[in-house]
Amino acid sequence: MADSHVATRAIPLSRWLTTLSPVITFVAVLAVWQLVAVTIRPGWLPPLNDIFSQMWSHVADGSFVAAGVSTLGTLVIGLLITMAIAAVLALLLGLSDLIDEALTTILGGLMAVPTVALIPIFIFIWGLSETSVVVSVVSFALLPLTLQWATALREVPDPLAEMSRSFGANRFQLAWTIYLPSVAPLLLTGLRVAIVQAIKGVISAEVIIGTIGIGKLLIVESSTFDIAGVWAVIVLIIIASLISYAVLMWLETRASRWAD
Amino acid sequence: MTASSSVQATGTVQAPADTKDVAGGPPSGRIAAQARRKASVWAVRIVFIAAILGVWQWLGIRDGGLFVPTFTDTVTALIEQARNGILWPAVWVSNQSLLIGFPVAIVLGLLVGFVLGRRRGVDRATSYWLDIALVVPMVALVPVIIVAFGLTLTARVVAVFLFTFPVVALNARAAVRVPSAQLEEMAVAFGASPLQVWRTIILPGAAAPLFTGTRIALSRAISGMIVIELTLIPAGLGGTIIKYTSQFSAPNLYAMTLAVVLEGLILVGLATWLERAVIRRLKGVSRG
Repeated sequence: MADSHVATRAIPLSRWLTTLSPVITFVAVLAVWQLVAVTIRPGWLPPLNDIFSQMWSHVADGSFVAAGVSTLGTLVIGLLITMAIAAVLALLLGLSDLIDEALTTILGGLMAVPTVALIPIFIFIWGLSETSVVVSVVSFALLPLTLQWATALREVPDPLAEMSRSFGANRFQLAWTIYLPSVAPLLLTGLRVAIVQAIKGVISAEVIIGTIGIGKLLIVESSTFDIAGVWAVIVLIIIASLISYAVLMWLETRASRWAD
Repeated sequence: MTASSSVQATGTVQAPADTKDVAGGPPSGRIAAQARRKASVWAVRIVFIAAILGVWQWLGIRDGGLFVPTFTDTVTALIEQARNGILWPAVWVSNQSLLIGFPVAIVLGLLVGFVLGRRRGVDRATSYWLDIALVVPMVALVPVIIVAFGLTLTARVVAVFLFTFPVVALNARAAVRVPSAQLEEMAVAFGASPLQVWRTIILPGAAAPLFTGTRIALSRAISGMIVIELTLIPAGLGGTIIKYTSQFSAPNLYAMTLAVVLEGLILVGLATWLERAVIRRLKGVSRG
């Protein structure tokens, strides 16, 4: 009697623990952070309440929104340019097996180039301007996107397309019902990878330039030795990048459902 | 035509009779076709690289070398820097952080990744932190690193570590998770010790993805090494790049950047070569 009682209670409890374990470690990390910040007081680890009050004041005086909109603007422009160039390059790679075999290896090898080292040259040419940031975004995201999209184009199912053609599908129908659904998930995977890179590019360029957008906010806070302010900006960057990643994940699942 | 003849040729080679007479002709035709294919692949590659360098040279000439020096001027400046003792000290100072930070990140990353890959509970509770670390731009943490460690080598090592560790750990986790559960179960059923299971089943299966992950981690480590020098600690290659920017010395700036790019290409190229050699060796062992 007592045993069965314990058993029925014990199983849900352990299940609860496994489901909640990420939340528990999250809370635990924050608790340790706060404890260390209040007791040992290392210079680089401000108490959480300081960070939140800094975040609040940045939100209230509109500096977060202004910096965020500026950074988001350059990010979007850079991504659109990257997508246009990557589409052309991926199509060129898809043109012939020979070009594909010859250049995919070279482009893959170029992924080893530490792109961040190119940013000073962009600044040298275009100055401390948004153009430099946009070029940095393109330089970070172009290669991965091109390679991913070239892979996506290789995945178009030929037999399916041939069958629909023989049943009299026109070009538009073919593109809409066969080609697009079959490559859409892969195109979005490429875009997800590219956006992660693009965000790294935009933040790197803005931190190196130091006078634009979120990078300016970060540099200003760190030059006034306001460590809580620095963390506030970092938390903002983390939240923004996680949201954009999650949105693309969601789009990707929707697209693969469409493909099926 | 060549394809069908090569198929016939392989057929006749399989046959034990009169191999010597027939095998001489057609396979050499196939080899020739392969060689021709290889030659044209390399031709396309050379044309591609020549085109890029040509465009660079043309831009430099058109610009007059003010913002864009020509490719030849850049290479001349790089050779000059290598001769007059500017390049190598900068390379050495920069790579100190890589030499310390990269191995530490690899060892810790592998350990953490192995634990996460084999212990589901720990994995569920903690590995999302690594996923976040992979997506978030680590550059943003550079100001915090500086406050914590000052303008020191330690700060640069920590930057390299933070850029590298999440990739290594997540990759190691994925690598030891995959190897076949059936093989493992069978080995355990036949009384293999955990150490034997690791040595004979898990690690050989994980070798290839582990090497690939290390290669990716290496290029990220070089990024981390450069990014902190470009932002807040003006030392080594990054510091020299910043110095040349403020001196408005275009050929030197491009040459130093080219040095960083070449370092990335050479190190990752070496890692790729090593990866292939080791994996070929492992395959040979499992076959023999």
